[in-house]
Amino acid sequence: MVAVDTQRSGPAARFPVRDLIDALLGGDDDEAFELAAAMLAKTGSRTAVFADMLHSALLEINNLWYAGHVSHRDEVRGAVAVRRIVCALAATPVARPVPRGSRCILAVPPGDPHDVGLTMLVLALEDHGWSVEMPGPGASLREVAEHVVARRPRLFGLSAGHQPPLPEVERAISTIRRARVPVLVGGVAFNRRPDLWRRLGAGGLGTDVRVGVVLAQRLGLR
Amino acid sequence: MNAVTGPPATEATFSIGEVAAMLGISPHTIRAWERRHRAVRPGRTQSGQRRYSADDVELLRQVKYERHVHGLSMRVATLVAQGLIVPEEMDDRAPRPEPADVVAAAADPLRLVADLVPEVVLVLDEAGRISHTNTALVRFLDVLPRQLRGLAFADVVDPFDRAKAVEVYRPPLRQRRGWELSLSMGRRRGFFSFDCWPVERGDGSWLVLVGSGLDAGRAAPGSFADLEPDGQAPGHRPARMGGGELRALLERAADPRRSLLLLRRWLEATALGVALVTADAQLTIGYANRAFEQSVGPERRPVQGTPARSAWVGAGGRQLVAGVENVIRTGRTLRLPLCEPAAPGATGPAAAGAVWDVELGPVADLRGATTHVVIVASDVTLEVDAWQRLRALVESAPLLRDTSEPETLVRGAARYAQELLPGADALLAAVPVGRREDVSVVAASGLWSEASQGRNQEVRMGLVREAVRARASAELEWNPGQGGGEVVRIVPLLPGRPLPDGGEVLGAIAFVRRGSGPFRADERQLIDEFAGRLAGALERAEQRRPAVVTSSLAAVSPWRRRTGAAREVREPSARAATTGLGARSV
Repeated sequence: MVAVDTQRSGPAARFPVRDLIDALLGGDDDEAFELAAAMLAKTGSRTAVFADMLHSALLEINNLWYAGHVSHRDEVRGAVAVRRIVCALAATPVARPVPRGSRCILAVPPGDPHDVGLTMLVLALEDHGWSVEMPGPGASLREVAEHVVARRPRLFGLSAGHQPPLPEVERAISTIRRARVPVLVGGVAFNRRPDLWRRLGAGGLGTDVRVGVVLAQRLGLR
Repeated sequence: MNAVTGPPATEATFSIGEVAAMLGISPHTIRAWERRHRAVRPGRTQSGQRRYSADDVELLRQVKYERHVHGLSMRVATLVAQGLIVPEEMDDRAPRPEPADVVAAAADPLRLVADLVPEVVLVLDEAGRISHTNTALVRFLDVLPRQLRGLAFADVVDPFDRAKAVEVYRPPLRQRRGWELSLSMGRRRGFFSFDCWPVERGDGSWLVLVGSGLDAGRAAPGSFADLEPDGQAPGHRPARMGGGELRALLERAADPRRSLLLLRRWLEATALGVALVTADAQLTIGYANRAFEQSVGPERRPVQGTPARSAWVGAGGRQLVAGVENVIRTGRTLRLPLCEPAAPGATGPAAAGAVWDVELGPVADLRGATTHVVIVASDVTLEVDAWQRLRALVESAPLLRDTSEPETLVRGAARYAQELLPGADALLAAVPVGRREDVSVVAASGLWSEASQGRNQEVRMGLVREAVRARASAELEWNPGQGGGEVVRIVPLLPGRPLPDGGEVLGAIAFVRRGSGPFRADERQLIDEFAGRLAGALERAEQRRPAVVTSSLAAVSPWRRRTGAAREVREPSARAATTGLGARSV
């Protein structure tokens, strides 16, 4: 008879976020990657590792920086390490992808360097069968809106780490919605002001990658 | 035509399947969080299916994040996500706040009090409007905090108690103890005893009300016969924060210490001694609050972070260590009394040394293994002292101790009530059956019987009637115009369960004292203990009273004088006697 080590499942038991945070703050990138890779092997979902582990760890490091417990250097180093892990994890296509040809356009406001979250969302959407386009980093919001109107994707997503000029965002979203393209927003700038997306006329707020994927399907495939 | 795709964002709702996909947890778990922890309250479609708003989803995601990243228990994580606990307190490296600083530095009055205590807490402005409430009240009334904000306090009080509620915040705001009110909102009703404190801040005066529930927490009253000299704390004490509540907050937390640190503001300000001991070989003390280190802890010095085996070495310390080991071994809660020697020169109740009622309880991890032991110690010195004084009185009072006759009990109680508090005059009043709004005087002395003070007597008796009607203890200071200020304390005699005739109050005992200021805490304790014992003894006697002699007893005694309702009382007993069910009582 084989003895089986049983363990009750629970979020804290499943995802070693605190170990990952320790590894990231301690500069042990290899350990951090090992933890993420192990969880990917266990869950079989890159989206789950992004949402439940990497995003949570980034958010906590961000909070520690805001509270003055870690330096800006630590925060930047952690973000760089997470970005490396995000790009290194293998794709995990889902069993039931969205209809072929479902296309979305994702963008960041010009000059915003925070694109780790957006990268996670791009990869997660690709795992779910989306075809993702990203305009160039230097494009202004007006140019992005014109591009979206011209391309007519099923969904447009805007991710912002710094709060962009709100009138510009409002105008861009209004233009895009008039073209019957739903708009999803996300990123720290929107997450920290939970009502902002409603005020700007967006269709939803993707507070993390998994919420973003579900909202994308809800908004883009109706 | 509106060209926007889909409905307006604010109206979007999600099915439980979509929410489960967004959060990465099962629908079953979401339903459990709703049911057990009231994390969210989703809307329903006409067919009864749950519909979650974007705000609900975000709240659930926050709960998961707090569980996930900070290792909090579900209950605490829910409170953090709902914004009912301030997460900044989680930093255990921050300096320990002084109790005075807690009050002075609080930008938000809500921070003066803990959201996690079982007592309901309200902060009122000078106009009696609710400014803040705590979680206990919100959950009791089953509303959202913002629904209560700005509401007149009287609006959440039972209409019969509103005049009394208004009295609480009538200027000038003043400290009050034991102000008992019935709260009512929708279908939710509860009976609370409030302590009130005025708080002065730069932006005006505020009144903090802390209420203990009297409905659920009230144990069956004891009797005079069970006052045995066993050295234990009295059995029926008011409900208070105990190890059970704390353990519930730490239940299945990945990091109990972190969950406890969230409560630190309250833990540092409370008089309860609280400590968390890790179940390792050395029994490391993970946390000990100020009250524990300075009052309960056997060594009177900071012990946080040190092994209990080496920190607690005195007699009391060894008792505590043995208790902790016992809890770890058995996984069961343990209660033990901890007595300390009296300080030199101490007088009053403390002359015999402080007595702590210590509760030790296990905290289990996700696998059910005991990882920590939480210790909660409450100071029961006054209660034990009141109990001992009462026992000494009763030992010399066979009329109270050895009888089950209501009339003998009443005569004994009336006699010994006069000896209970030197300098105070006692009144014993009964509630006639069928006229529950009225009281009749059974025995009275001193100020209660002064015929020359008709107007003052009316006021006092009005207070007694009010306390009986509200089934609430009351204490009032007032100036009758001559002879100095008076303090009146009235305690209704409440049976543990309704009487056979449906009555809920047996009577009341009241004390009045002139020119000596308010009653001390130990005197209040003594009055309450006496009233509780008397109510218990009378209730038992009442339950045993033979129905056939009711009318004759009523004729000779003013106690529970029967009126038109006597027939209603006798009939069930007579019916029981004929069927044999009432053989014991007849």
